[in-house]
Formats: sequence, structure tokens, C-alpha cells
Amino acid sequence: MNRFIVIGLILLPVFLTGCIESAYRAGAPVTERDRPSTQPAPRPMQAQKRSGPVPHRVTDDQEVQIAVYTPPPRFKARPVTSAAVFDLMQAAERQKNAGDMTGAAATMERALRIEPRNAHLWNRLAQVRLTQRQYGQAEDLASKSNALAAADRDLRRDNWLLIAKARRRAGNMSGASLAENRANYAR
Amino acid sequence: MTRRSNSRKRKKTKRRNNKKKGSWLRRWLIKASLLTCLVVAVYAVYLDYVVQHEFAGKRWAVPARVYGRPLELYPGAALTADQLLDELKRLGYTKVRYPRQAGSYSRNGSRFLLHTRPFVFWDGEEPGQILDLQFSGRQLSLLKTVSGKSVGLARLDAPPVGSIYPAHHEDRVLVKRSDLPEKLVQALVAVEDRSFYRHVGVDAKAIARAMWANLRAGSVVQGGSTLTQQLVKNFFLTRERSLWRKANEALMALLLERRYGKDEILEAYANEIYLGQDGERAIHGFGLASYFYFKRPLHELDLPRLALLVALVRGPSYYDPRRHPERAKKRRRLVLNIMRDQGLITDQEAQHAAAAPLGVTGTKGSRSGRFPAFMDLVRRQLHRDYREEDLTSEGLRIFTTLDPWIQQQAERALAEQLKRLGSGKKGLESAAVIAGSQSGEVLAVLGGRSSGFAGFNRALDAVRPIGSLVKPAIYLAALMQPERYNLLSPLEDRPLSVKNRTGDIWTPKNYDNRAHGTVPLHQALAHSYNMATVRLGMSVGLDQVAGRLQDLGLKRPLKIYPSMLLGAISLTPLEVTQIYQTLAAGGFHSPLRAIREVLTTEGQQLQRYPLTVKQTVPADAVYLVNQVLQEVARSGTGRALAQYISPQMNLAGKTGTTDDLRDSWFAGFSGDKVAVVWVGRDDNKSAGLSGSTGALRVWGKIMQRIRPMALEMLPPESIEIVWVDPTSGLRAEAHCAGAIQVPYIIGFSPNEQASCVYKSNGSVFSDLLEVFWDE
Repeated sequence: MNRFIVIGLILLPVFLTGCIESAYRAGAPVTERDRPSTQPAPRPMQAQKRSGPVPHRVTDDQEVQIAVYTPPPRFKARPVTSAAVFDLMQAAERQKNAGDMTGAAATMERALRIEPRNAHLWNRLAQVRLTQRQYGQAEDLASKSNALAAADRDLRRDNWLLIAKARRRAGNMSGASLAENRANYAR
Repeated sequence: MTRRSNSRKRKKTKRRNNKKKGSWLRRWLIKASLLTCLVVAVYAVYLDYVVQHEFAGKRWAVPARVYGRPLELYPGAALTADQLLDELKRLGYTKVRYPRQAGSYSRNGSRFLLHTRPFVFWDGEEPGQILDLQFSGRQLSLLKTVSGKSVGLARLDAPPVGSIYPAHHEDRVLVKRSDLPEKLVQALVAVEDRSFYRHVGVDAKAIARAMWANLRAGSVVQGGSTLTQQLVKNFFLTRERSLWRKANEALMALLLERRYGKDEILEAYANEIYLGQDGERAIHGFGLASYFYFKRPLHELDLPRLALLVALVRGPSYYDPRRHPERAKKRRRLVLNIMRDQGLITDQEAQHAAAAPLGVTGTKGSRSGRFPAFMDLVRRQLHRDYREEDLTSEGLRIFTTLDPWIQQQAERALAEQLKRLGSGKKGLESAAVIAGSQSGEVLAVLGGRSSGFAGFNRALDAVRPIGSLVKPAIYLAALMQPERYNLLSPLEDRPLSVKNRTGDIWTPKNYDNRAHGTVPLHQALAHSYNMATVRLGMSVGLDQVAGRLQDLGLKRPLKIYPSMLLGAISLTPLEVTQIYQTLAAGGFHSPLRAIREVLTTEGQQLQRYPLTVKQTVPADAVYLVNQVLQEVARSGTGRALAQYISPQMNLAGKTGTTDDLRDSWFAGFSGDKVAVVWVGRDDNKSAGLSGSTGALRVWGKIMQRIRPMALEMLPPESIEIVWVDPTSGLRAEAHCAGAIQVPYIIGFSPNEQASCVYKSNGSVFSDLLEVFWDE
């Protein structure tokens, strides 16, 4: 058992990098950011996939129900940003700095067509809308970014701060401080 | 006085007697000719006014051009060589040995050299460039310029998918005099009006020559009309053939020449001349004819193609190169010979061109009506913001979300599967909508089994009961009450009777006519148990269910009564797509859009239809529902999907069937797309198909063909995934026998532990180690 503990301690960071879900379950603080994009995260533990000294095995008669939840959660480390999308993000940044908000939004949308589940893109689009004083839209876009942010805590925090800003400027003060709390919690 | 007058009278009479006949005639003639002159002059002034008014004030009615999405090229794009070829064909790119000219490409195995056309988009011009592309597998693996510089991202020109022309069905693509290829102008003048640059509108010599030729032949073989006269004929007059019309034509030609320069007249001619017919659509002008016959812009045409256009002037239907290729070839040879005789081209060029194939594209691909169902949606969305006359005359450029490749794949899938399903069944119809799940962009619309036919658009107009497609809204309403329901909550699938508002007793039955007893909530949805669902809906509350349907995007007014729980709500496939879009996007509603941008002819920005999202239902409850929709596809009523697409894609969906098998539905989504398919009959008789034996087959085939992204759902922050002992519903641990992972909304997972859980120190640390060991 001791041997396992030692190996476990050595490999703990590796494990933390991958297994978001178990970390949630355990309530452990997850601190990683910028996980490698090409390497899929290890699957969360599964009843069927175990080997070695396992006390009990899955019985066949329960398979229909078990099949329900065990296979799917195999999420890759996201968001991944490809070179094409990176180019577009830079183009949008230039447009934004030049005050061309409509253009920047259009460019972000173009990037989102290529990577619809890239949380960073939704966050950038939210920023553009905030600058345009479209507070409701900015808030919804930031929430959308959060929904896709997986364990990217920095991004989550940024989104909550953006939501707080949008709410404050829209006159929703209590909602704003609520969002700020979430931002702190996300840290 | 009397006498004098008398004598004068006498004299007069005498004189009159002498010259009576001659003078009366002369005076009458003078008067008549004066009158005629006056009438002609007045008429000429009138005509002059008409000519000026019509010509100078002519705002060319240029129909709005509608484009599909431009194909994006970037390293790593999920794009096959075949898909690229398909797009190039659609855009009219020519295959050559080396692509010197824009609009051409060369291919060597999986490598392409592609000379793109410059194209003005919303965000400016995409330059034309020579790209070097390399495919490997189902990916575009490399993208460079021909000089070896790597390219991050490039866009092909947007594929034209149709135009919005006015009620008189005149369609054209406007060209300027400077856009007209010189060879075209030279050939036109040489063949139709040799003295065009010298005459004053009418060419007497040409008329005499034509009359002589016609007399000799005994029939009309040659016309003496100048280009100006032909223009007038096309411009102002009807097709009637009479002397009166001829005279009118000549007069107007003279006036036109007096007012306008040769170049102006030539430009008008090039845009006005009638050059073909496409169903009800009249093809006017060389600009559109070039697209219509060759699918490419005028300036890209080579000599044989230009000669063919000139050949068509004399009789577009008689010399129709698609229907009468031999006649067209003969006439084209004549044009080329005249050009050679005039010294415009060499003999060798003429022979070479005469031997070339006609080069016209297939009629189907060129028809503007290739995507009638999608265009229908575009038109409806445009009419909210634009007047009909602006759409049909202002030459607007409309950029839509249509993906012609997906549309085509879906059409093929639908035709193929319907043929299979419909063997022995008559009148089987179908409709489908495919959209981007995160963006709400409509990618394809199928209005019926024959896609090229602009008839009843079932995707937009067939309002049919949706059956079990309504169920996710019921379960969503339930799971939004986490203190009452979770995925393992036991539901009673037992017979029940419900009193409808009318007082009728309603006794819902299961599809398999069996009662399944106590079942976990997820199973009731995955297997679409009716009795359990109605009990759940009644206990959650009908108003709650209706409210969730509206949150998901239902706009149509809803009558609230119990049978709505089993889908006695009638919707169109498009409306259902909207509801499932919200689910697919994790609770973020994006209104379905068919249009991205509208530009003016000059490329000025007019309007954008931006991407908007609104969180209308909580992400955690939607996550739970979607988990079960994945189960539907994996092991529930949608498990037949495995025949079409790998279960590893984890697609989510729901079947729907209505009474007597009248409507067969399937709605579902992948990571990037949401799609809805309906199969049934227009006369509302039984189609003999359930959701899984009918619509699912079409849906599966569509997905198989369009290769969607896998569905990897990320649990929202407020979801925890817990090991549970399924029999007791108690919290378990990974090592427990038969323990399964179940997502819960945080704070509502079971607290009590099953007996298998060790009573160890229970620290986080040992938990983690446990997991590590397991892996």
C-alpha cells in the first residue's frame, strides 16, 4: 500500500491535470490552466474499465442501466485554438482597437463557425458586445463561454467579472455583486 | 358688289371646272402631308420623351443575388478532396494544367493548386491568390501560397445559390461597358451589325441587303436590324411582328442614337438582350448568361464560349446549347467564321474554337432554383426588413447561411432512404432542417422528397403533431425541480385516466401496449414510456411544461390540455428545430437565422443579422435531459442509429410517432449540428412508420453523410457526478458492485451511503488515491 501512496504522490499532478471530474467529486481545488490541447484527458474512472484487484465486478443483468451513464464523459482538454482561429482573433482585436466593433463581432462569429465550442471566442464576443453597450447580450455570451470553459478557471473568472460589469452598467447592482462573488469563488 | 362677286364667282367656277381635279388633289395632299408631318413630329417628340425617360432614367432592375456560405480553407479543416471538388464545380472553376487564370485549378492526387477569385465580402475583399492545398485523410492538412508561405485561413468565393427576381421573372447580372470582353463586342458587331459604329441607328444598306436575301430565299433568312434597333425591340416593344412596330422601332433607334453614344447603347444592349430561359426565369444580358451557361463570370470566358453567347443572340431557344447542341455548334462555327473573315481571329484560332466542346454546364446545377426550400426561408426573413421592389431591383447581395454541400448530402440521404422506406407505400413525403447547434444558422432546408421542385415547403409549412418530441420539455420541467426529481427518481408506468378540459376521459397507452411498472426517470424518457410521462407531466403541472416549451423557443400559441403531454401539439419541422437548438446549445437559445449579411451592389454594408444567445433554461437541468437524449440514441428508442453512425459520436436525439403512425419524427444533435426530420403523408393518412422505423433512418443517413462533430457535453459548474448504487439509489463508491456514475444538480445528490462504502477516514486524499489505483 505504501508503494502505491508514493507513486500516487508522484503522479498526483498528472492526475489532477486530467481528471477534472473526479476532482469535482472530491472537491479538491483544481489549479491547472492551459492544459495541453492535443492530449485528450484521461477518462474519468469507469466501472467496466478496471483491472487489477477489484473487489466486485459489474453484473450483466444491470448492463442496460449502467450503459446509460458510464461511457460518455470523455471530454478533451478544451478550448483548443487552431492557427486559423488564432489569426481571426488577432484580426478581431485589431478591428476592436480601431473602434470597428461591428467588424470585430463579425470576425468573432467567423471564428465561432470554425470552432463553435471554443469558450475563449464566446468570451471575446461578449467583450465586444460589452463595449457596444449591449449589456444583456454581453452577459448571455459570457454565460455561454462559462458553459464551455470546462476547468479553465481563469476564463470562468474573467467571464464572471464581465457579467458583473455588464450588470452594473445596466443598473443591476445586486446582480453585479453576486457575479463578483462568483468571480472570486472561481479563483 | 353683288355683281362683282357674281362675276368673280363665275370666274372661279370656270377655273374650278378647268383645274378642278388636279388642284383639289394637290391641296389635299399638301394638307394631309402637313398633318402627317405634324403627327409624326408630335409622335417623335413623344417617342423622344419615352426613349429619354426610359433609357436615361432606367434603373436597371437587378434582382438581389443570394449566396451560400463561403468555404473556409485552413489547415486542419474537416474537408475532403471530394468536398473541395464539389465546391469548385459549384463555383465553375475549370480544371487546367496550371492555374494561371482566376477561377481555375489543377490537381495531382491529393494536392491541389487553386487560383481563387477575388471576392468582396462583408469585411472587405478576399484577394485572389494561388493556393497550394494538400489533403490527407478527411482533412485539409496543408495550406500555402504557391510561393511556399503558409496560409492560416482563406475563403473561396461565396457560391451563388439564387436570385430574387420580380414578378415578370427577368433576371440579370449587370455588366459595365468596360467589363465586356473586347472579343465579345467585336464578334457581336461583326455578326449582328457590321456598320454599328458608322450608322445613325438604322442601316438602309443592311435593310436592302436583307430584303434581297429574303426575296431570293423566299422567306426571312436575314434581318436588317441594327444593334440599336434590336435594343429598342428588347427594351420597349412587344414581340409582335408588324410593319407598324418596325417603323416605330426604326424611329426610336434614330432618336436613341441622337441622344446617346455608341458605348452607352452597347452597354444597354449587353444587359438587355434576351439570351435564354430557365423555367419561368428569363435570362437577360451577357453577364447572367455567362453564369447560366458556364457558371462563371463573363471575363473568364474563352473564345469558343464568347462565340457561343454571340451565336445565341439570334435565337436563344432555337440554338439552345443544352437542348440543341448541334444547332448551337453550327451557329457558333458561323460566328467564328465571320470573325475570321473580318480578321478578328486567325484561321487557326477559328478552327480550334470551332472544334472545342460547347462547354455548357449541366442544366440542373445552373438553375437558380436549386434550393427552393431554403430560398423560401431566406425570402420570408428578408421580407421582414425589405420591400419587395428593393429585393428585386436594387441588386442587393445577400449572404446566407446555406451550406450547399450539406444541403446536397441531406437531399441524397433523404431521397435514398425514402425510396427504401417507401417501397410499397405511395405518397410518402418528408422534410428536414439542419442548423448549427451553437449558432442557430440554418445550414440546409429540405421541403419535400423532390428537392429541386419548388412546391409545398413542408419544412416551413407542414404543421404536424410532434408526438414524443415534446417529452424532453416535460422532463426538463421536472428536473428543474431538483428537490423532487433526478435521473433516478422512480416513476410509475401504469395505466391512468385523465379528464380533459372538455370532460372527456383520456387513457394514454404505451407504444408497446405494456405497463412497465416502476422505472427510473431516465429510462422512462429513453424508452419513451407514455404512461410514466403523462403521470410526470401531470404532477409537474401542464403550465410548467408549456412554460418550458416557450423557453425552448416555441412561439406558436399553445392550448394547455393533458394530451399535449404526448405531443398533441402541431408544429413545423423548422419550429421543432428551434426547440431542439436550445437543448443542443445547453439551454442557450439562438434564433434560427438564414441570413448573415446584406450588402449593396457596390459592396457597401447594409445590414448584419448577428449571432445572439439567450440563456432561457438552466444549463444543469438541460445537461441532465441531454444525458438521457444520448441514452435514447445509445440504448433507447433511437438505438437503430448505430446502423448509421458510430455510437462513439454520442449523438443525442428523440423519436416521435403519432396516432396510427401518421407522423414519424426524429430530432437530435451532434456537437455542432441540430437536425429534425419528419416523414409522413400530405393527406394525413397513416404512413405506417414510427419515429424509429421512419424519420430516424433518414436522420441517421444524413448524419452519416455530413460527418458531424462528436457530442462531448461538459457538465456545468452546478453539476456533480456521483457514484450511486442503482438499486437502492444510495451514494456508493467506485468499487461498489454495479455502481454507476450519475450526474446530479449539486446539493441534491443522495447523502446516505450504501453499505459497500468503507467507513475509512474519508479524506479527500484517500479518495484521490483510490481513483488513481482504479485507473
